[in-house]
Amino acid sequence: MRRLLWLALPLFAAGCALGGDDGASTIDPSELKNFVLQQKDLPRVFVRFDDGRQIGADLPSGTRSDPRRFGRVEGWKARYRRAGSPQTKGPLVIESRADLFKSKGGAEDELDEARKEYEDGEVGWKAVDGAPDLGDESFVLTLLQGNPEAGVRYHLILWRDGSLTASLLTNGFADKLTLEQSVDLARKQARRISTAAAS
Amino acid sequence: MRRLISVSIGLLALVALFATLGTAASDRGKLVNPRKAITPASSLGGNSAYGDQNYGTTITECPQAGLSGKDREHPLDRRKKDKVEQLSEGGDDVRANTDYSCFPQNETSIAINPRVQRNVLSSQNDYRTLSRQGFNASTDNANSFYSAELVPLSVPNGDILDASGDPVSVFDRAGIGYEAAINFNRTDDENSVTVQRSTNGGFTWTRPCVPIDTTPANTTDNAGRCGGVGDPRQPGDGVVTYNDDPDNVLGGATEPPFDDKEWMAAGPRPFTPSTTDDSGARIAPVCFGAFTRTPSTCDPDVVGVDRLYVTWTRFESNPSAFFGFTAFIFLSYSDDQARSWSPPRIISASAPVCQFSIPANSCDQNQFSTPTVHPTTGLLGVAFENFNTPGENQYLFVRSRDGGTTIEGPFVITPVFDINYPLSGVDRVDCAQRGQQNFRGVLTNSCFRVNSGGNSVVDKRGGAFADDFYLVMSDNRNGTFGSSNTDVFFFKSTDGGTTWIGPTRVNTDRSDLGTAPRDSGTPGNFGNDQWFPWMDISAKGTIAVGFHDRRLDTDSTRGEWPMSRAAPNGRPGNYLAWFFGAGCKITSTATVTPTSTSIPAGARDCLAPGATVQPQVTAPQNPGAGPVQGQGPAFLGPFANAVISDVPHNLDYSFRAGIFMGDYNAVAYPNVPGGSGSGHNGDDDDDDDGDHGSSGGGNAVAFWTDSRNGRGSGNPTNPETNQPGRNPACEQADVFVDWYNPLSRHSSSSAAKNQDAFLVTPCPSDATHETDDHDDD
Repeated sequence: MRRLLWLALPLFAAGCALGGDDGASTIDPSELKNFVLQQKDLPRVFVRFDDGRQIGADLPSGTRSDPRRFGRVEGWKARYRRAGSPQTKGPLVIESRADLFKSKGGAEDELDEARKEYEDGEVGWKAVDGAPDLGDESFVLTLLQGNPEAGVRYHLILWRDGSLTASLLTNGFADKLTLEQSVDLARKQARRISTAAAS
Repeated sequence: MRRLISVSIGLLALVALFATLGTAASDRGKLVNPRKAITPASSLGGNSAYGDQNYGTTITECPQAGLSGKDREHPLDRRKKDKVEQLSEGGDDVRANTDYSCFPQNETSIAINPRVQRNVLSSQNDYRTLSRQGFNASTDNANSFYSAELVPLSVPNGDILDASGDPVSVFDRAGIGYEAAINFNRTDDENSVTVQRSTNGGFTWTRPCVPIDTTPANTTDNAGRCGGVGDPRQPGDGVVTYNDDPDNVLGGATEPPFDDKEWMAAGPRPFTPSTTDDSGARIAPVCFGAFTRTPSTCDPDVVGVDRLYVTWTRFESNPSAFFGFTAFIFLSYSDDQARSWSPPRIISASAPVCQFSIPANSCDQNQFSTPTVHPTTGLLGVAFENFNTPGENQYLFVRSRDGGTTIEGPFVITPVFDINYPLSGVDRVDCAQRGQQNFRGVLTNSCFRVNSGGNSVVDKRGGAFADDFYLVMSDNRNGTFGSSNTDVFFFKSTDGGTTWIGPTRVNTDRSDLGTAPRDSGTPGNFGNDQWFPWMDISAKGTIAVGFHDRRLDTDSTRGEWPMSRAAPNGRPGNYLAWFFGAGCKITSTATVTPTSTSIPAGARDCLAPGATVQPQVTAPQNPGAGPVQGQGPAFLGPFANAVISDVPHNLDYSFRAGIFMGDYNAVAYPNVPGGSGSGHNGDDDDDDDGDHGSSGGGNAVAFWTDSRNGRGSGNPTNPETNQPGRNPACEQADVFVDWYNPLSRHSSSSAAKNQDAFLVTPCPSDATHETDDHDDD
């Protein structure tokens, strides 16, 4: 947790940046493609293998499987990968998402539901104490599949910024991927969102 | 509808299921498999799930191995052929899709014209124009093909539906070709099942017509037209079902049913009930109104020699249903060469083995139906997987002796052990991260989805063989969700589908779960995966099976996605895939009924020593965690195995990060009545002479998805390959054909060589500066 605290560099309070005074979204859905990580945000070794509107196959599970859940308007995704071996440090696959809701309340419901889904689910995601200072609210989960030496470590960072939710999912070999590396990437995406919203 | 399906595989329903099952279980004192609670019930198949994928920008050049013919048109190709492409050109596999689009083809079906056996028709999901049904027609024994896409159906508003898929190729006994497909929109819930007709061997096709009602005030007539004034088509031609979406909104308030995963068979109309031998009268053909679907007199000029049967899964929202939706198997038939179709009817029936349904015991969660028709008697059988169970799922079978009017069954074929597949998003979060749907079953070391579906066929011979049915399927009873080891199993019935005998393991490689619990994440090297089996039977009783197989990859360690092979319990090998054939000849039969206490020698052909009569249970079987049938050497059958494909392929290159390779494969013999076949079919050959790669004498034809022309997602050391005009992902798959002798144990000598070249094959570098002309024609 302490490790996270020093990572929690203040971006700036973007609380109302992505919503009107009444919480209604002021974002044009066509801008969503700018709210996910771009190729230029990543080292050149990464290759984008998928990006575009979130489609049926991308939908999450449970109560969030309805593309119109909580007044959801639209979603975007971008996926990147790099070649690697068990000795490769840092993330190997990165998935970046952004989802726009009609209102701040809808985005709040989305984040609440996502937290419940992951924390109560069968997969074994574990909440990480403390959260990076991203948007209006955020949380971090981690998962290890396989053994601690050779398994795969996942970090999932979700946050809300007004009527928009965003997530970053990374994986890498268990002892080669740090939370700091994942949070750094989330911070790049959050900065992208804030900048776009402010423009 | 997509919302509906997503909900269907969502945790909400499943949590509810789990809670309810828990209660039900305690009430019954039974163990409920907890993994069932996170495993989807029936779910969408094929193109309907991936029809709206982002395919990226267009690519300009890509590997093109497998095209035959020296005089074909070809690109001004300036690429340097990499080692994989050079190796891939070395064998006798023939690529059926002749396009140069560099987009995937998958999910295959094939048929041989019984009147002109050098005429081979095949089809596949085809992404050359992003999501259509491709077809390939050959009149030279599948040595070369004319390949194109089917024209989509017309609908009343003048639009065309965005996508189609789930292809099925069939010939009737007169040599008329048919292609069945599902069709759907990406932007709303409009969908349809269609059948198109070809009278010239599959080169040109009819265009299905959803009729425009020209007398809308009259709901009892069938007056209508297709398209514009003067359109010569018959209203309703080729339209099995059409589900309009009134609000034109994807997942909107008025979601129509979604018809998915259709299959088709052709066979003679059965004899009339009073007929007891083959010389009697057959039931009269029946045709149907385009709107009312009421029976009408057929025009004799268009009555087909065969009745066409189409079965499919209808996903339909139903808040009263246990799962919140139903997935019944439906049937419709046509006697006028697909011009008109009977009203769809449910055939998945009801039985005590189906639970958690309303009304009680209705089998309302199904998928993977495959009809088959006896070419003389017209006996119809349909096998399908059913999910109305608290634990392991089950394969069921229904039949009709009167052309689909009366349905008998369901009868239980076997439990299906598919709950313990590694699951995307659960055991394999990395697969969800690549884009695989949550809860889809995958294999160790890969992320493409798999299922247990196979197909059923009826014996084509007469006499005592005439009511014998066979089924192949695959499941993970010899693996765990930590390390999959899916095997292919064969079942047979000698009493019309009432009683089933099995399991018999078809793949002959090592398969040994040892003491590991099946429903666990225990890792291990239990054996290699075999999946997507398909079968046909020759007119002389040779069973031909084809399936994807990894047995030849025993020690590779590299992979396109290194984290995939580590998560959670990757192991060496079990990564590259080949297409395998297997075969066994049935020379005798003897009736085995539910009361049989032993299997007579006459019924033992092609069975494993441990195969037994499967019980017709009155409740879903829930075998629990202990040993089950199909595990151990006693269930290894006498099937000959041999590799068909010339080279290995890496399915991580098949379709967008390796998340989809289709849902099935294909194998075919000509559809001819017992004993009268000729050509390919006339001389079953069990001399083990290794005569792969040529048509004739007893050979079957295999048709499979193969990613030998796929490459990695760009070159990480050279990001310049990600330039506009090139697809950043070089993934693609093509569809390949080869003849094989199912009874041979000889494999291609090159099949297991040069594996390393296929493990990691980068996207070709920019060809702009290449000057060599690699035109080697």
